[in-house]
This record gives sequence, C-alpha cells and structure tokens, in this order.
Amino acid sequence: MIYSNFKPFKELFKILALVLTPVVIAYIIWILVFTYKNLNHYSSWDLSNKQNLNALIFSRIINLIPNYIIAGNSNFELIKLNTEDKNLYPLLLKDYSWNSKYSRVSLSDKNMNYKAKIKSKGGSPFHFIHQDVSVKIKVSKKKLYKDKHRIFDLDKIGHPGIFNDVLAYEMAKELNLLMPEHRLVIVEFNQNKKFLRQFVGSLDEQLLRLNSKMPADIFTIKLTAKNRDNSLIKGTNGFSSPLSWKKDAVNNHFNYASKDPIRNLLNIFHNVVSNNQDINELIKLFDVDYLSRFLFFIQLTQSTHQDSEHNFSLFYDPWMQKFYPVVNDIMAWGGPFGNTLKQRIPKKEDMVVHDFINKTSMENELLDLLKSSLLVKQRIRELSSNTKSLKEIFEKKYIEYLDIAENDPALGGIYFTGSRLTSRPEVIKSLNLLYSYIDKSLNLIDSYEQPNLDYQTHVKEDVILKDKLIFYSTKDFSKNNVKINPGTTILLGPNVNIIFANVKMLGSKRKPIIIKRLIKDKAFGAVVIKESESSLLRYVDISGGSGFKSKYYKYTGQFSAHDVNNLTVEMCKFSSNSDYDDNVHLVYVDNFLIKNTIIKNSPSDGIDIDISNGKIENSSFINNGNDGLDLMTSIVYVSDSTFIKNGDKGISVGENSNLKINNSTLNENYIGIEVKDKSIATLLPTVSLRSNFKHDINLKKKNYRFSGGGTIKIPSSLDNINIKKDSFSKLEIYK
Amino acid sequence: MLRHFKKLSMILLVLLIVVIYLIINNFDNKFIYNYYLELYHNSWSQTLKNTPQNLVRQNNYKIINGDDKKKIEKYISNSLKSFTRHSRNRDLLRDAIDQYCNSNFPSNCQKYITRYLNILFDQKLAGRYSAYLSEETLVHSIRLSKTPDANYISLISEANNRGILNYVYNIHDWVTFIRSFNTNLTIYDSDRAVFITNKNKFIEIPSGLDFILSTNKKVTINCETNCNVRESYKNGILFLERKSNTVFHEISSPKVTIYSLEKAKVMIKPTK
Repeated sequence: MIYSNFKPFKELFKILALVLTPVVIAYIIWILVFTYKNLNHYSSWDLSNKQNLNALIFSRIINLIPNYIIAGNSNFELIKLNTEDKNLYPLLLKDYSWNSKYSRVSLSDKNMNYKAKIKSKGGSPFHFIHQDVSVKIKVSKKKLYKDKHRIFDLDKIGHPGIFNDVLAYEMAKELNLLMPEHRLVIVEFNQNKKFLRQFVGSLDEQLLRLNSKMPADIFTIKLTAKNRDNSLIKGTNGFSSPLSWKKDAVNNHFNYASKDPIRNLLNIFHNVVSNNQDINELIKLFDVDYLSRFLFFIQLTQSTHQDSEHNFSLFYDPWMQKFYPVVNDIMAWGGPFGNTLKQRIPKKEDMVVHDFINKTSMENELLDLLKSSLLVKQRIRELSSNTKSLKEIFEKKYIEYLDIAENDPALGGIYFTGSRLTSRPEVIKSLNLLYSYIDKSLNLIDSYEQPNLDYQTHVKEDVILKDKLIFYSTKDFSKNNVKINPGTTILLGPNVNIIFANVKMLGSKRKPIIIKRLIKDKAFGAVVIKESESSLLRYVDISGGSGFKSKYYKYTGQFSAHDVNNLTVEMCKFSSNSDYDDNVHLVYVDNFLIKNTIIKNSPSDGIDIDISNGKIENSSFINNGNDGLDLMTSIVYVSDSTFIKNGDKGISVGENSNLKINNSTLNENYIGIEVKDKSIATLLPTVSLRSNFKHDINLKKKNYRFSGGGTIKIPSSLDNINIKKDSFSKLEIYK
Repeated sequence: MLRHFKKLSMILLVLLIVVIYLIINNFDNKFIYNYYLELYHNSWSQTLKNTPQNLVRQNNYKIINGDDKKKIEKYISNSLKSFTRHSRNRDLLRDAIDQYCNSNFPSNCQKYITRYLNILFDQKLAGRYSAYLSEETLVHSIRLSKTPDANYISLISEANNRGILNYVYNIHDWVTFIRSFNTNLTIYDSDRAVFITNKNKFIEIPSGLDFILSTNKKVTINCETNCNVRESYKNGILFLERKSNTVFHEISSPKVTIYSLEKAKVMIKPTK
C-alpha cells in the first residue's frame, strides 16, 4: 500500500483507531440498550411473546435499509405524491397520530395533476409497527380524482399475500355487494420511495352514488382508535348502545344526529336475544338476499375483521326500509399470513377453513344471530349451490395475478410487506397458497347441504277493493295481491297512507278509480307501492294527498313507488297534493311506463324519478310549482308529451341521468330543460322549446360529486333558442 | 504492531463510514423505537415517583391545601407535556385532574381537561366537568360518547344550555344499553325505562355506571366488594342509588347485581 510507509498516515491511523474503537463500541451498546429498552416497553404493552421480539428486530433492520425505488416500469397505475417538505413522508410516520392533520401535497397520475391533502391513517398502535403507513388523501372539490373520488385511502399492504384483498373485492363485486372501489396502485413519494399499495375509495355518500343507491345514512361501529374510550364500561360493544355508531353518510331528509334506524335495529336485536322475540322480526329489517350474500362473502373470504367493535357498517335505505352491510376493510384470507406483528408464508396445513355459517363465531354479535335464521341459512345454501360464476372469476383472476406476480417489475427485488422483507418468489408462493386456500373454502361451501327448495314461501292472498271505501287509519296491503275494481272511490283520513305491494287498479274511462281526502281541508298521507313485482294503475285519479314521514322512512310523493319492477301508469291524473316535495315519486323502479297521464298543479315537483328507468308517453306536466319532471340517476325516454308553465324547470336532468326526448313541447316554463352533473339529454328534431322565461336550455355543474356539467345534444334545426352553459358542460349540435 | 494497526484502521474506517451512514440515516428516518419511547412514555416510572399519589388515589375527593395544589399542578402540567394515549400514567393523570378540578379555584382546570380529552377521551371526566369544556371540546366529547349515562346527559344538557347543539337525551338509548347487559329483562315502558324482571333473576348493572333503581317489590343487592350503593325507602318504594364521587374506573367500581325475589317492575335510570 502506498501509505504504509508514510509516517503521518501511521499517526493518523493510530489516532483513528483510538478514537473510533470507543465510538463503535458505544454505538453497539447504544443499539443494544435501546433495543432492550424498547423490547421491554413493547413487551409490557402487549404482554406478549416472541412475536414482539421479531417485530422489533424486523423494524430495526427495515429502518436501517436505505430508500430505494422498487417499482421500475410497472404496469400498475402510478400515483405520484410530491410534498413541499421533502421529508414529509417519513414525517408522516414520525408524527403518527389519530388526530393527525392534513398536509398539502400535489398528486399526479398519468394524465392529471391534482391539489390534495394527505394524512396518516389507521387507528390502533398496530398500524405504525410497520415500515409503511397507510395514508388518507383528500382532493379538491373542484377536481375529483378520476372524476369520482374526493377522499380515498392509499393503504399499505400488510403481508406477502398481496392479491388477497383485491381478489376479495372482485368477489364482492360479483356478489353485488356495496363496497368501495379497490385496486392495486404504485405510489411514489417525492420521486424517492415507491410502494405497491391498495387504492380504496371512501366509505361515504360517494360510495352510495357510485353503487347507484339513494344517498342516505351509513352507520359504522367505532369503538377503537380515537373512538376508544378508556372509561368504556366493561362488556360494552357496538351493539350495546346506538351511541357507539357514527354516521359515515347522512340522509339529509332527517335530522343529522338522528340514529333512530339503528336504535330500532338494536332494540329488536336485544328483544330477540333477551326476550325470545321471533328472529324474523330482525330479519325483516334486512334485505334477506343481500344479507345472505354478505354472510356468504364473509364465509368465502374467511374474514372476521368487521366485528362488534369496528369496521362494521350498515347502510340504511329508507326507501327500501332495509339495512345493507357494507364491505369495509375485510382483510380477506389474512389469518394464515400472520398478523400485524409478524407476517409469514403459511404452511398448507395451517390454512384452516372455518365454517362461520354453522360453527365459528364471526366475532360480530349481530351477524352471528342473523346467520342462525333458517331463512338466511336457506338462502346461503342456495348461493353455495351456485358458485360457478365465482369460480370462473376466481380462476380468471388467478391467472391474471399470477402473470403480474411473475412478470411485473413492481414485484421484483426485495421490499416490505408489513414488517416482512418479501420478494417475488414469496408473492408467487403466497398467491399459490391463496389459490389452494380459496379452493378449500369453496369446497367447504360446496359441502353445504343442497337447498331444500320447497321451504315455505309466503303466498300473497288476493284482495279485491270495490265501491266506496273509507280508511281512517293507515292500511297496509303489502301482504296481498290487490285488485281494485272500476268505479271504486277510496277516501283517506288525515295523514292516512295506503300501502300496496302488487296492485292492479283497473279503472275505466267511464268508471275511473278515485282516491281523495276524506276531510276537505286535511290532506291524506300517501298512496304507496313498494317491493312490487308488477303493478298497474289505469284510469286512476289521485288528489289531495301529501306524503308521510316516520322516524325511519319518508314518502315524499302523494303517490310513491319504491322498489317496483314493471310499473304501468295509464290514463291517470295526479293533482293538488300538498306539504311534501313531489306529486309522484318513483325510486328504484325498473321499467316503468307512464302513458296518457296528467300531472298538474303540484306545489313542488310534478314527478320525481330517482335511480329508475322507463318511458313517458303522451303525458302532460302542467303548472307544477317546481319541476315538471325531475330526474336523478335515471334513464328515461320521453315522447309526445307536454311540459307547460312549470315554476322551475320543465325537465330537470340531473346526477348522471340519461334522457331522450322526442316529439314533445316545453313551453312557458321558467327554464325549459336543465341538464347537469354528468347527465346527457338528447333532443330529437321534433322537440319544441318556446317562451321559457329564463332559458330554454340550461347546462351546469351543481353537485361536486359528479365532477362535471351536463351534456345536451340538439338538432341544428332547433334555432332561436336561448341556451346558458357553464364551462363544465357541453353543447353538441347534430344534423 | 504497526501491521495490526493498519488492518485495524482499515476496518475502523469502514466501520466509521457505516456508522456515519447509519446515524445520518437514522436522523432522517428516525428509529421506530423512538416512537415506542414516546408512546410508552419511558419516563413514566420516574414521574410516578414524584406524584402526589396520596392525593389522588381514592374514592372521594380530598380537601387539599395550597402546597398540595401546587404539587398537583406541577405534576399535571409536567405529565401533559409528553402525554399520549399510551402514557402509562394516564389513569393517574386523569384522577389528578379530577382532584385538581375539585379543589378551590381550579384556575387551570379547563386547560388541563381540554388537553387531556383531546388526547384521550374519557366520558366520565368530560361529563363531570362539562361546564369547564370549551365549545369545541364539548362537541368533540358528545361525538365520542359511547354510553347514554349520567355523564352523557350532563354533556348534552350543557350543550343545550349554551345553545350549541340541538341534542336531546334519548331514554331509549339507555334502555337499549341496560338490556344489552341483561338477557332476562323485558321492557315494560321504554319511555320511562321500566323493565320487568322475573322471579329469582339477576339484574346486572355494569361497573363504572351510576344509576338509580326503584321498585315496589323485594330485591337484594349482591356485590363482591363495596358497591357504593345507597338504599332508601319512600312511600313503600325502594330506591337504590349509586353516584360516584370521583371519576372512578372499573376496578374501584365493581359490577352490581340485583337479585329479584319475585317478579317485579323496576325502573332503572341514569343518576342525574
């Protein structure tokens, strides 16, 4: 060596040796002492075992490894996050807190840049044992992420079974369950760290809108993390009191703080548990088909993460008067892959499939009770006998994921999942293990007894209404098939409702059916059709009603149809309603036909159609206080109809609706037609728009959740019309 | 000898680079164990020694003099500086705040309670000192409340008095809550929280819950230790009341079981 005989170097080495030896020794001692100290604290916190030691040592090693980019040119969607403070990402980890506040961040994907805010997420201390933290992102209302998401999570992946959750969400989609959008993405922080993460849409009103549900309450049990209460009474869980349920989405028709639906549910739940009340009273509050699919999903995914203390969300749809559990933070097939403290590649024999339907507890008192219902069991068995489409999806997705696992650069190298160092072979192995696990799970489901299809179904009795009938209190015919004879007059007392399921109102031109108020100046409630397979109104004249509001539901029209397939309204007349929002209100109506019908003199909207599809032919909407026809998330074809002198819009096409209108007239309304919020209206050449007071056509963006204005397609022959358009909307003229 | 030094210095040079790199890297990323240090409050055992424990660990408030008050103040403000929800002294600190706020002229009560509740919500502490809470903390506390007990009543009535919120206490929540612990109670009148209990059955009142029970039939109380329940008769009706004097926790407030000797109507309400 050159320096070996050079004296000053010799001296330098001596000094270096003398100085560095104690430094190195001190450093080693420092590490040992702190590790021991932490181990002490860590262990005492969790009263635990070897796993703590492993977690701690892993965490230590992980934090010693420098940052590096793992993703390369991956095929996963890339989300880039850039912060002003370049150390923000590690800072998020440092300042981990359930009261963490949002910091500014700029977010970009392939095509767009977004202004956004970021904060760390995850409630319990378990969440920051890992190298990576899950984050919550909120973008500006003005520009939603992918035009859909205001708030979303970029969750860390907790174990080498990278595809577990994403596959479970695919299964949930196939089972038609309510769930947030979910996919795998690569997230890059400050052009430095890249991690594979899970994109999870928010659990709020947007979830309902994206799943074509009416915006209403979502209740979630929150008893952990910042909602943990150290004075919590022993034995309490989410089913003890409605106070432990928080609202993730709110129905603005009711008091913001109201928890009446969940209170009612819990009361019945305790009646069943304590007082031997019939379990069917509880089942009535759920859509049995949906509930069975949800329980089936839990069984399939072997997940008990939606338990009595957290993550269990129920959507209450007041138009259906039913609860729907929402898929939320499931941790599918997660058990064998370890837990937060230690992740592992399981052995095949460890992958035990639990029978949650018949034996093991779901760790959720309500679900455990509901699954014991014979009706639910029956439906689950029916589902289990028809798992073909699920198996097909599972096979297809497995091949797709295997290709990704084997070839995508994102899964190359060494990287962390949870606090485990993982690599491509482990991911492939985990996927193969998942395959055998799901196979086992499906085999168990297949082994359920074949359904006994001759179980008792409730047969609706036939009822005929005729002549003159007076009802002083609400009459419920929902357990009957009702036929109303021509010439029948029904008089309803103040606030009295009449409720039908399947009804045929068979009036004739000479002998129409008349439904009106009993006392001249006191409106009746509503004529309601719900949960109907098929209903018909012919020559019916309804007037003098209002609507009805209880603690749990609301009928906003004097004629309200909720959850109806095939509704036909012919030669009818709806007029002079009062108090409530609409004259006629259709929600979740599949395939309606309104023909030769007159809707007039309503104080507010003439007809309000939400999340429905059908046709309106040869009808008149005259002199209604607000809109003649109001659409929300509906597909409607209107022909040969007139919309005249309506106080607001002749037709309002809102919230992602699609309207086609032919051979119709929109005259003397305040606004002829208004198209907004990602809706599309097509006017055929035979449509006439004249003398509308403010505008003939108004195009705008109103609700930020739809991230766009309206689009209208008009023929070039339609001239001399007054159009107003904002910058989000589109006007297309065709020849 | 020199030859050894050469080798050693080479090794040390490499080690030095590694050490410098690791230290820089550590400062950048911060070791995860530092979180544990913060989270589990490694100095708690030290602070515990200086705590005026004798002034706070009790079932009833003590009358404290100026010096003791200063001691408690010092303890509270020192503890709150590094307080997290995982701090080992959290219960002790809560009790100290409770004792302090019950002393004469507790000038810093609002400050301490706000800080404590913002880090770690405690329904009993919040309910007891609802009058001291800022508007923001009051709303926060109502939102985080879990049990429809006397403390919850106190929080929402305070909010109503100040005209902040339109919350109304819902007795049905209480009924649901009591029934979740009692598999044999039937509701007689949910608007008045009247239940029917069968002969030879127990009614369980969870630990840490203040209540008042009234009935005209014979019942007996079973308690492992002192339940802190006061018994009284008025016009042939038996009243059982538990009203805690301090913000106690489960350990010092055992579960109360009431044994019904015959089928009886009982009214169980949260203590006001």
